[in-house]
Amino acid sequence: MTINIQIDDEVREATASEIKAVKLRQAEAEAEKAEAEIKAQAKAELLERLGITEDEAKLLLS
Amino acid sequence: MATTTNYGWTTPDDTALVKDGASAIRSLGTSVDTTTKALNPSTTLGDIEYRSSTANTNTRLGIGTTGQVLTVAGGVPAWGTAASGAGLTLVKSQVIGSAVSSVTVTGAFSATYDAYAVFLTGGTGSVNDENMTLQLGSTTTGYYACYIGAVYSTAASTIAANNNASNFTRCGNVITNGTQFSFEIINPFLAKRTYIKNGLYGGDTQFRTWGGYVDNTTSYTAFTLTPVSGTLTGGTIFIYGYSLS
Repeated sequence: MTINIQIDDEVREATASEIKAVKLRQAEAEAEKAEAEIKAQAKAELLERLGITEDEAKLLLS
Repeated sequence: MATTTNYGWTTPDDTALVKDGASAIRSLGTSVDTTTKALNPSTTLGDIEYRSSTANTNTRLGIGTTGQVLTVAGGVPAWGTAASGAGLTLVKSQVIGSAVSSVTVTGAFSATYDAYAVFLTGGTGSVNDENMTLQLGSTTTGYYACYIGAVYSTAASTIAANNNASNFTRCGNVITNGTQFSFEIINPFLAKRTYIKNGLYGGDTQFRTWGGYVDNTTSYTAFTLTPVSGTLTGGTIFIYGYSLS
């Protein structure tokens, strides 16, 4: 699959090293996104076990 | 000899002899010519005159160059460079092409400004509601940021962070209904830490604000946007510089 990149007005097919750089940026973001989703899921599960909403938890902690 | 009231030109007395008339007229004409020239010293297209410190004598000011404005220097008129307007000045706009996996904008930052506002408006992503990353220059380490948002439908908060990441992982949101984001970037060109402030973007499901910094003193002139998946098509990136004065 062709990967095109743009540098200012030039749009062209990415070189191998440029593809690697794009993949690296995407991988980092994917990892961060996955971690955030795990944390959000854990928070939701905890709130469910406690039987309270997020707002109620904030009130309890305030 | 009589003289005129304003310019002191010599005129014949009532009792002057007629035979001296030609000489008197010639003297008067010379005086008028001299005074007129002193009041109107222009020689060239675009010249203007202003009063000098000598009575009845103006000073010629030649036309300035394109873009100059009339100002004051040393108590007299002079052509000068127009002061740059306070506020924001468009540094560069970059239209995004079709189906590109990343967009690098060069020449975005320079010594002219310390702070910039960056906007992306319009355009679409091939994958809806996807994050977009921001990399400064070729730096792939030392990115720190916090992203705080809320989901429209539930008002639930969403939080994410970068802790020594290889880029800012959520500078914007790619959506098929029109990708957009904005952020301010402080000191990208200076040999100081580069800070991001007031990062804002909205997706189809939530809205986020973010800020952070890059932990180095590298001078940057370029940045790269990369959707986490899919491609970008269309839209325009605008970079504005905040005036230093």
